[in-house]
Amino acid sequence: MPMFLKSIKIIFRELFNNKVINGINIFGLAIGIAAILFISQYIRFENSYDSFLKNKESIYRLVLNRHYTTGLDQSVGNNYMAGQLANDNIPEIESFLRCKKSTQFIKVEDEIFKEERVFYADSSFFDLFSYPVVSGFKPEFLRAPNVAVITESLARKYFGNENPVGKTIHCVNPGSTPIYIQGVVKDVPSNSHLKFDMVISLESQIGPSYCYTCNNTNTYFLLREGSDAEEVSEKITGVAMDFFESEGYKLDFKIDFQLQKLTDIHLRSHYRFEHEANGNYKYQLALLIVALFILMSAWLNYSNIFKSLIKKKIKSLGIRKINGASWRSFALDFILETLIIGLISLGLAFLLLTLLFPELKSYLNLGYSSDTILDPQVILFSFLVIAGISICIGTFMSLQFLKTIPLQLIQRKGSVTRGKRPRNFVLIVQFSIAVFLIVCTFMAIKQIHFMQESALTMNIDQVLTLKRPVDKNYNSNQREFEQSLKNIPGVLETSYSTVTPGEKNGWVKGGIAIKGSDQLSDQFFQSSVSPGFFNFFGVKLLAGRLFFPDETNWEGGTKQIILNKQAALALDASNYDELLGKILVDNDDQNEMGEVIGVVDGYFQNSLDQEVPPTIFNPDQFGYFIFIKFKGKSPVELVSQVKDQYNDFFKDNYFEYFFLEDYFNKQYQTHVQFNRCFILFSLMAIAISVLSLLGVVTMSMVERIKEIGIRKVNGAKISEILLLLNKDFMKGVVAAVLIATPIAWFAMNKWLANFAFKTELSWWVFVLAGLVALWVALLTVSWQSWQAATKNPVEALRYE
Amino acid sequence: MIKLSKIDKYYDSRFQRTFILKGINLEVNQGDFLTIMGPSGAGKSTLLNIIGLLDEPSAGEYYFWDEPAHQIREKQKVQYHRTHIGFIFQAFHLIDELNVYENIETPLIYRGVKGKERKALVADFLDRFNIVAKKDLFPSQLSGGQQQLVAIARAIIGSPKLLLADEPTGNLHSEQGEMIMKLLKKLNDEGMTIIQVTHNEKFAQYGNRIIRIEDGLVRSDAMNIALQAEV
Repeated sequence: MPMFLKSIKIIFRELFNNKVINGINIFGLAIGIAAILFISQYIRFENSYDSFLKNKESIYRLVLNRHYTTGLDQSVGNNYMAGQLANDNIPEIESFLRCKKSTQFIKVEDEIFKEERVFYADSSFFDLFSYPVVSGFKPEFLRAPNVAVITESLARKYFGNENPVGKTIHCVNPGSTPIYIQGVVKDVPSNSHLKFDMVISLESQIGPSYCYTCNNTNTYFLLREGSDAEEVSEKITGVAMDFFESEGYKLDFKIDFQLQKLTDIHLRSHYRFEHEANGNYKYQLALLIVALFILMSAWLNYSNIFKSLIKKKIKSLGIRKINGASWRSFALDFILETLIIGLISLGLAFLLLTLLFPELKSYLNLGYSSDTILDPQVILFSFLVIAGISICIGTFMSLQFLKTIPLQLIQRKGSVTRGKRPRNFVLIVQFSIAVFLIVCTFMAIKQIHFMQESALTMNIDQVLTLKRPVDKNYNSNQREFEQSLKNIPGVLETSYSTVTPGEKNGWVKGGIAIKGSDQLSDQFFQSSVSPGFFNFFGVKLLAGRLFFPDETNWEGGTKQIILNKQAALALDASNYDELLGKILVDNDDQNEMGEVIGVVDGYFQNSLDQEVPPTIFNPDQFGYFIFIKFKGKSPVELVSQVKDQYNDFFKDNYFEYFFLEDYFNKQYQTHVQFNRCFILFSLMAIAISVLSLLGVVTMSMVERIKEIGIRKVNGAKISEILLLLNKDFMKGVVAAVLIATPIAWFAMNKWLANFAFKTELSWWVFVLAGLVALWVALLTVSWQSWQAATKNPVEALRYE
Repeated sequence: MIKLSKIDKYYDSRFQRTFILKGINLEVNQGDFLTIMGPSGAGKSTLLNIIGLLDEPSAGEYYFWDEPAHQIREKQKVQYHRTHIGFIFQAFHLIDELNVYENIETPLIYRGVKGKERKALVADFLDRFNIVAKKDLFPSQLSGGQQQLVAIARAIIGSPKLLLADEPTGNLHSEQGEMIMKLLKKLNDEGMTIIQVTHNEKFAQYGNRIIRIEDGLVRSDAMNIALQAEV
């Protein structure tokens, strides 16, 4: 192996001889590799959702499609009957599972815990989902009312190191039900769409008052091997239709069912009643493209530098050839060289990733640990890719030199301006990518800001929200509680409703029409609000009046309702006033919903990336969410004072509060994360572009050192030299801005189409992005050109 | 040893054919020290390069030890370069990235000489050329004469049968040039066949045979009387 080692020694010597250029090369490549590694890990993780389950190929979830005139409502919430009916009538279905997620307050000994990941489920839960059992007897799990299975970490939280099996805990609402713990399972992996801490038997919930027609139960099916999901979906729809007919139930909107594959849920399902906000495969695609861009940028940088280094070495290659170097020895040298540079970059990329991973994890809210990145498989794979590429490059280069006559290699006149054009081309491509990403970042920031501030016409600043217990007995306490809150200095106003802004409204009513019209029915959301609700949030009244302070729809007598603009439009109203005084009815049972007394606009139940649904507002004297507007007071102080009052009026209940603005903005989490990704990638792209520019400038200054010397001897001023040196590069950056602008405009237009409320594509975003790129480039170039321009010309000319 | 017959070298441009060499006939015997002279652009270097298999004739036949060298393939060429032909150039053409020791060692590596033997040979040559102290220096740290010494050492370390020198003294001042020429003469005396191209009348006289080329044609071919008289 001595020859092999010798080659390595010489390669390292050359690397050190050209420290700056090779450093730029390796660092740029490392950034590119880090980007692609990071993204591929992220995508791998996102695609691994639920793949750890044994039955993943044959588990499906039931989706209910309701076709209204206002649009299609897709929900994974189904009624309680659907699963059982389908299971009884369709042979392809092996078993089924119903479950629903809920938040529960759990009392363990004397302490109350809030648990947000509690599921009520059928006993088939652990048969369908192969979560490994730690203790307890699995065949018995969830087969009786009021029994539960919990995860290891919850067991630790409640009981420390004691064995929880056989212990009893209590569900605080409703009415302190004892729950017997049957078993413990391993914690749910973070790549599961169904994350739970506790599963309680569904039977516990089903009493005589259970709502059999509510559409809030998730239903899963285990299909027999070889059955066609599409076919089964149709059969389920058929069974449902038969059922409706036999019950004499008439639907005036079309419904059908569809089955979605378990492994598709995380990336492709965004329906009502999802367990959690799911990922989006479109974003993955975008990220992948961006990562490829960055890798391309790094690759261009690499090939640029590689070419210029080869040019320097061309003479020695010729000499080697004259001295009898064979094709193989060339190939070996080239392969070793590319391999060494590639491996150093790879090592650096891994180092960067592991060092930055904790930051990235919290910044991008990643669900996986750094082990995923340092997975030996990944390391081996990336090593093999680099080795493969090195062999290709090495072979290709050596074949090139095999063909050329050595004399040409020796006689080629050094390094004049021949390589200038491709270099500029590379710079233009790299800066185009950087400018494109900067524009995307700015636009994403602008859009998020637009949704959170400009377009949000309701006022949710400085609002503390709390949740009072649902029990009706507390209704009288609520009024007194509100009264007492107003005595706290700094509290301006209070209000309440059944559902807080930022939470998904689950109260949907289909089949609503104006009384006396034969119009097709629509699906409307409903909510109960305090009479002062619209004033509290500064919502605009378009027609009619707001509620009177003592109005309510729930104590008999006439009902009054306010519609939002979307509801008015869904009822085909040409102007809002014509709706006033009309009565809305439920087509199913001809129940009156109430008389329309007003139309409002600008209330947002949910984030502004989605359309505002048609909504009916009912006046109510009570509500579970209590809003407290405050001013000129420290939030911490306010919370502690409110908590004192709360404990007086709602004794023994969990004090749950949040600030409305934070809560509402949580809905933008995916966008914020997406934007953060773009910020990260823009920085990477800028870094590579700057490195590349630095490399090109350094090389070009060396080449032009004589020219600069001659110009200075002939009386050029430093400023003139600077202008001369910077001009070419700046032209390239300007060209990049011009190329990137239309592409970014097109891409951002597409992206904005995803939002119901979209900001404008302002020209200044593009100008700003261009200026950022120009400024960065100018700084980079000037740093080098200043050194070249201020050099003593005699020194430069002595090089001859 | 070398036989050229009717060698042409030309380049075709759009309307005309430009001849560099035209109908060159030349025989070189083993042990010759041949000097090729002529004005700039006469085709001296091209002829040398054809002989050294760095360039191919456009027409004509070239026999290297009765082997038709105008027909050989790339792979065989490498073999010739490894075992039969050594080169030195006006611009020295050392490998900048390698130090003196490694430069001299290069051809041995390609020839597959084993490590120990290689070490001994290089040490021997360093000693012979009196450059032991310089073995760790890089070409840029040497004077022109020293660089050419290294280049010669590299050219002959594989003991080629033929040494081709393209203006070996062109970049050197006369004292160093003299030294290099004396070295070449000595090598020739030891039996090495040498062909050199030069502009320098004085250094031309080191050869035992001088041919003059003008406009691609051999104008004269004579045994070097002066030298023989001197000897």
